[in-house]
Amino acid sequence: MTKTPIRAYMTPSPHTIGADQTLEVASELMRKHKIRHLPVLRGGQVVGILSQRDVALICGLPGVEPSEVPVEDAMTDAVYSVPPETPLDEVAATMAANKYGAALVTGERGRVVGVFTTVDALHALADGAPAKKRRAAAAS
Amino acid sequence: MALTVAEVMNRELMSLRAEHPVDYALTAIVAMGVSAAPVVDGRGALCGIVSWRDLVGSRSEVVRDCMSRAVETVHPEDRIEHAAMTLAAGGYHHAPVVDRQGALVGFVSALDLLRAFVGQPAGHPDTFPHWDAATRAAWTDEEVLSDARIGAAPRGPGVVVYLQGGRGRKEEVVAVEQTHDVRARLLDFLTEPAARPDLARAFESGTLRYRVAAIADPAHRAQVAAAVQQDMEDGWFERLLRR
Repeated sequence: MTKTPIRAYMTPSPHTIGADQTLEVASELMRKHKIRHLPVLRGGQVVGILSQRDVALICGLPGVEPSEVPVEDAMTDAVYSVPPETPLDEVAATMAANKYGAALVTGERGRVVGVFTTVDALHALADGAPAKKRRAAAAS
Repeated sequence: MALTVAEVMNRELMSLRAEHPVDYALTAIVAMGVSAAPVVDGRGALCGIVSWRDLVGSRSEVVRDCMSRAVETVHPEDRIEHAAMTLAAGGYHHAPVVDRQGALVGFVSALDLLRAFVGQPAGHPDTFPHWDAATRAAWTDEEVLSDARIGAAPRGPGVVVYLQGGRGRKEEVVAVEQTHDVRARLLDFLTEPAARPDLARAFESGTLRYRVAAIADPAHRAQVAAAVQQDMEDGWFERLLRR
């Protein structure tokens, strides 16, 4: 099971945000969709990842106005990204060792095709349920 | 694999009170390096959980008004598979751990469980930094000031407290200072101890130690440094040291 490709467990087509958008927009997007990570794009390419923690750290500073801070000033440049065929156990071990909250799944020409979070990992490792089956069960 | 929650949870608990102001809660969570904390009432009973997401940009004034009240809890003797299913089913990233009497005994995160699944040890520090509610600053453990023990000093702005004593002698604060780069300040001292006569004797005898609070905001930094300086004789810092 753990050799299954990560694409079976990822959340496909995640929300993204432009590098020149503001933290206010990012924060609202995270709140609205109840997500903790946003891939940051410039010209369609991934240039970073913005976590809820990044937003909180910057917005928690006195005098900082979220509507004036661009996403690229708060994002993390180092992104853990993997091809869709990467085995689940490899991705889970890397995330655990490095305390990554999410892995970006990128396809051809670096296009973001999905995101795999720690909660997705718990689903996958505890009950083996891929994302598609979970969504179908939730809808029924 | 038959690991239980007790084997992977964080036993070092940081909790907030429902009546704490939101800005206080956010500062405490940032300072302690966590992303969520259980909320307890005046009797110490679990009444909710609050995360970064709840606090950042919240228009509420107190934790009670923005925390999640419907809390999924797990028990120390639960298997990690059960805890993982509990968190995953609700999309939760943390769960308070309560014993059979309902007392809060730990906190477990999705990452704790993930590390257990892939055979990696729990990644918690032995203890949190020492949180001082009066000045809203989190202090490191006490370290002997030497080249070998400089690792606890952050590369960034903060307040340094120099201490002397221990090993049967009364501890006392020798000096307090704020700086834009704690690590650089301590390295400067280690390079030329004679430049600080007030510290040099204790340093030469090997009894000089330090604690640091990393604080980015210059106004807060000045406030904390002044508070420690002022209260040196009132024993505020000694109370902190005993915790």
